[in-house]
Amino acid sequence: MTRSIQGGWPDVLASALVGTARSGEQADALLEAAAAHALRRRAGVALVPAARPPAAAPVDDARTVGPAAAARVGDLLALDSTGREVGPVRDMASRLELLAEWLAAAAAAGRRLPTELVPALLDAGRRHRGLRVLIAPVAGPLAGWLAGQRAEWSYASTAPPAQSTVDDGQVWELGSLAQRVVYLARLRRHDPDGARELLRAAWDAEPPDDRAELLKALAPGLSGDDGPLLERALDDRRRQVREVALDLLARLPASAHAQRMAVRASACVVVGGTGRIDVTPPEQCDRSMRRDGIAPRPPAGTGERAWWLEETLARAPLHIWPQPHEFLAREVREGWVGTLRRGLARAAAIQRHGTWAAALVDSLTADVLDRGRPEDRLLLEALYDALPADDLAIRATAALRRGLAGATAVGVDHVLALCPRPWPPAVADAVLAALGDQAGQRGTGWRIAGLCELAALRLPADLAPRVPVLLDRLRAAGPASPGLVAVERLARTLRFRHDMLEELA
Amino acid sequence: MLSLAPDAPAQRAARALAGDKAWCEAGVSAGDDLPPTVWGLCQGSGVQPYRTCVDLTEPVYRCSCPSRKFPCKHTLAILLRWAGGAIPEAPAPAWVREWQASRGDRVSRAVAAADRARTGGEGTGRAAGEKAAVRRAGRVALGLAELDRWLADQVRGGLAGAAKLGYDHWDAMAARLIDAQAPGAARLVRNLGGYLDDPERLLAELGLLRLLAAGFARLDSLPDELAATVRLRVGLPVSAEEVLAAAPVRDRWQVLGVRDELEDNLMVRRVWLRGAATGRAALVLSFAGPGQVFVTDLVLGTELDADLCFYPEHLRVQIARRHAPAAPITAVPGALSVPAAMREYAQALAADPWLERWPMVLAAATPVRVGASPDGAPGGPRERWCLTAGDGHGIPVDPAAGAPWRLVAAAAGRPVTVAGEWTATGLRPLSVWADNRLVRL
Repeated sequence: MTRSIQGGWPDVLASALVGTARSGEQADALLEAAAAHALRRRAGVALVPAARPPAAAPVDDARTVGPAAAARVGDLLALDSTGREVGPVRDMASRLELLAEWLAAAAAAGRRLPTELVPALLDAGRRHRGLRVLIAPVAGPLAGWLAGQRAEWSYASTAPPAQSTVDDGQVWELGSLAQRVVYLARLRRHDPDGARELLRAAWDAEPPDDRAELLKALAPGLSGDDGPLLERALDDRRRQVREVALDLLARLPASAHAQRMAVRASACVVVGGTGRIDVTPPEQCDRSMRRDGIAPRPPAGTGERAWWLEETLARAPLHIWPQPHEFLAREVREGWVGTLRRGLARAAAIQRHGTWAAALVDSLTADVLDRGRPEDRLLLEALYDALPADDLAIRATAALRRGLAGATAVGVDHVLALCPRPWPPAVADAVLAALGDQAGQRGTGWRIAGLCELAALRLPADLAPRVPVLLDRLRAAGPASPGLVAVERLARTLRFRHDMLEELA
Repeated sequence: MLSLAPDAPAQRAARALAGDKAWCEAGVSAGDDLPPTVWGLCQGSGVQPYRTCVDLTEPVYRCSCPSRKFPCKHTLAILLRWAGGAIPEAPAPAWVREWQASRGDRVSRAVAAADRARTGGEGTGRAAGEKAAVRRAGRVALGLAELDRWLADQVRGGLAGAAKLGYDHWDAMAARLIDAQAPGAARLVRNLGGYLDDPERLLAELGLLRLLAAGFARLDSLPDELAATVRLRVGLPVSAEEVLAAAPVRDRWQVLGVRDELEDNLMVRRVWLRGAATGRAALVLSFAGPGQVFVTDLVLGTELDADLCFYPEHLRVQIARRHAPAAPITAVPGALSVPAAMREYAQALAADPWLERWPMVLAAATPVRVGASPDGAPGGPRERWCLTAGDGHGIPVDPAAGAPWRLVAAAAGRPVTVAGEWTATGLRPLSVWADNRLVRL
C-alpha cells in the first residue's frame, strides 16, 4: 500500500528521514520528488536580504608597488604557512624583521601595499604589535576603513573612540582594573598632570592590590611634579607598590629621594686633599635607608658594608660626582675600587647615562673577563644598553678588529645587536673582515654562525655583492671549512633583502 | 611569468638565474617556418651548457637539463630575461629549428588522428573499439542498476539512521561503482559522506543520483544532448580525438578563475575561462598526483586568442590551437547583473541537473555582511556574507570559502566585477576586477 507523493519539500524531507518503510511512500517516487524539489530550489535560489553596503573607503591616489614587490610581500605575509620556507629565513622573528623592512622601505618610497593584502597585514599586526606603526603608511586610508569593520582590527581604527567623555569617567569609577589602567595611560599621554591628579585624589581609596598597576601607568611623561605622589607611595605597605615607586624615582635626578641619596653617597665617598678618593662605607642600614630602597641583606660573598655602599651609589644621582674620566682616574682607598665601580656602573645603567656608561664599560669588561660572575655580565649588558649609538659602533668595530674569539667573550653579539640598523659602514666593514679572517679557522664555527645570523638582517643590503666574494674564498679553503653553511645562508638572506629593496626603489 | 613556476623554490631559483652570469648565448627568433621562439645556452653544473627553448605562442618549452620540475628554472629564467628585454633577436641555431620541426610533426599527427575520428575511421581498429565500448556500457548499466536499488534502500530505512553510518557505508557503494567503470557516479556517492549533518542536502543529492541512474537506464529514449550529459556524469570517457573532432570556438579566452582542490589523493585544478566576444564559459581541467606539479600554463589575469574544442554538452574544453601568446586582460566584458547571472545558471541547470559548479561573472557587486550573531556583534559564528548590487538583495557567498576579506579590501566599498564558482551553497569568489587589474582571491 503506497501513497503518492504530495506536499512540499518539508513533507518529502520528513518522509525520507523516518524512511518510506514507515511513511508508506514509494522509495523511487520519493527520490524523484526530492530531485525535483532540489532542482527547483537551486534554480530559484532565494536572494538574501542584504544591508546596504558600507560607505566606500576614501579614494587613495598613492601608487601601488610593482608586481614583483607585491609577490614578495605576499610571501612574507603568509606568516601562518608553517613549513613553507619564505625567503631565506626560517624562524618567525626573522620573517617579521624582513616584513618590517619591506613595509618601512615601501613607506619610504611612498608606495602602497596591494589592497587585497591589507587584511593579512592587519591580521599580522594583531599578533605582532611591533608591526602596527608600519601599517598606516603602506596601507593608506584603507587600513582604517577595514579596521572599522572587524573588532579584531580595531587597534588600527582611525575613528575617534565611540564613547563620550562621560562614559570614560564611568570607566574610571566603575571599570575593571585593566580598563582603568588603559584609561589612566591614555589620559597620561595627553594630560600628564590630569592623570597624576586623578590618581592622587583616589590614592587612599584604591585597593592595595591595584595601586602598583595604576602607578605604573605614570611612567610615560614622568616629571618632577610626580615626586610627591611617589614619596607617598614609598610609605605603602605593599612591597610591589614601593618597588614601582623606586623604579620611577630613579629616573628623577632632582627628586627629594635623589637628594637624600646624594647626601648619603657624598658622605661615603670623598675626594681627599691628596686627590685620593676616600671611601667610608655606611655603618648601618637604618629605616630611612631601607625606605629609600637600599636592600639590607647582601648577596652571598659580599660584605654587609660594601653592599650598602654599592646600593647607595647605585641609587644616587650621578651629577653629584666630578667628570667621570677625571673621577675614575683617581687613586682609591685600598680595596674599594671594585665596589665603587660597580655602584657607579649600576647608577649609569639605571639612569641611562651615556657618558658614565662609556667611561665605565671598559674597566667593567676587564672585570667580567677576570671573574665572569653572571650578575656582572648582566650589568655589562645594561651598560651597553645605555651607551650612545656612535659609541657602540666604535666599540663593536674595535672588538672585532682585535679578533672574533675575544670579542664574543665580552659579548660583541650583544653590542652588535644594539647597534643602529642597518649597521654603519665601519661596523659592516669590521664584521665582513672578521668573517673573512676567522671563517677558515677551526673551532670558530659557532661564533661565525651567531655573527652571520645577526649580520643577515642588519648589514646594509647593498653590501650583498661582497658576500659571494667571501664565499668563494671560503670554498677555495676546502669543503670542510667551518661556518661555510652559515655564510651561505647570510649570502642568501642579504641577496633576498637586496632584491627586495631594489624592487621597491 | 613567475606564476608559471611549479613552486616557490623554482621561482627563487629562476630569479637568481635571470642575471647575466649563467647565459653564454641567447636569442629570439621568428620566421615563416618558425613561430616566435626564445632560446639560450645556460651554463649549469655540467660541461655542456643546457639548451633551453620556449615557443612563445603557447608557451611550450624544452630544456636539456635533468630537472624533473616543469617548467624548470632555466626555462623560467630565460622567460624572465626575455620579459626584461635582455635577449636580442638572432637567427635560430639548428637545434632550435629541429625542436620546432619535431613539434610540428607531433601536432600534425594529433590533427590527423582527430580527422580520422571525425570521418568515422575505418578498418578493424574501430570495430574492436566499438566492441569494448559495448562491453563497458553493459558493465556500467549493471553498476547503475545496483546503485538504483541501493538508493531506494537508503530512503526506505530512513535518512535519520543512514546519517549515523560511517564513511565506509558510502565508500563501499562508491567502490562498487568504480569496479563497474562508472567513476563519475562513484564520486557523487563518495561525496554523500560529507553531508551527514545536513539531511536536506543529503536527500537532494540522493534524489539527483536516482535521476542519473534512471536516466542511464533509458539512455536511448533521451534527447541527444541530455544523453551525452548523462554519459559524462556517469563517467564514460570521451577521447581527446573525439573532443578535437568537434567544431572549434575561437575567441579571446580570459582566465578569470583558478582553483585547486584535493579529490581522492589527486589535485584537481579548474581553470575557468570566459570568451571576451562570445561570452561563453569554458573549463580547463588538469590533474596532479601526489608529488607532481601541474603542467598548466594558463595564468589568471591573462587572455589568449585560441581555438577551444568543447566536450559534448559540457563546459570542459581542450585547447586545440593558440593563435597568439597570452596577454594581460585589459577589461572584463560581459559581466552580468545578479538576476541575469542567476537566470543563466537556471538554464544551465535545466540542461544538466548534476551541475556542481557554474562560473559566474557578476557586474557591479559589493560584498556585504549579513546575519551577524543575534547580539549584533560582527564576527560571530553565524556571520555570513553576500554579494549585493546595492538593491537590498544579494546572493550568498559560500560559507566554506571563509570571510571574503581580500575581496572586501580590493573592492573598498565600491561596486566591482567578481568572478567565481556558483555552487549549491553559494558563490566562491575567485577573482575581482578592481583598479584595472585582476586580483586573485
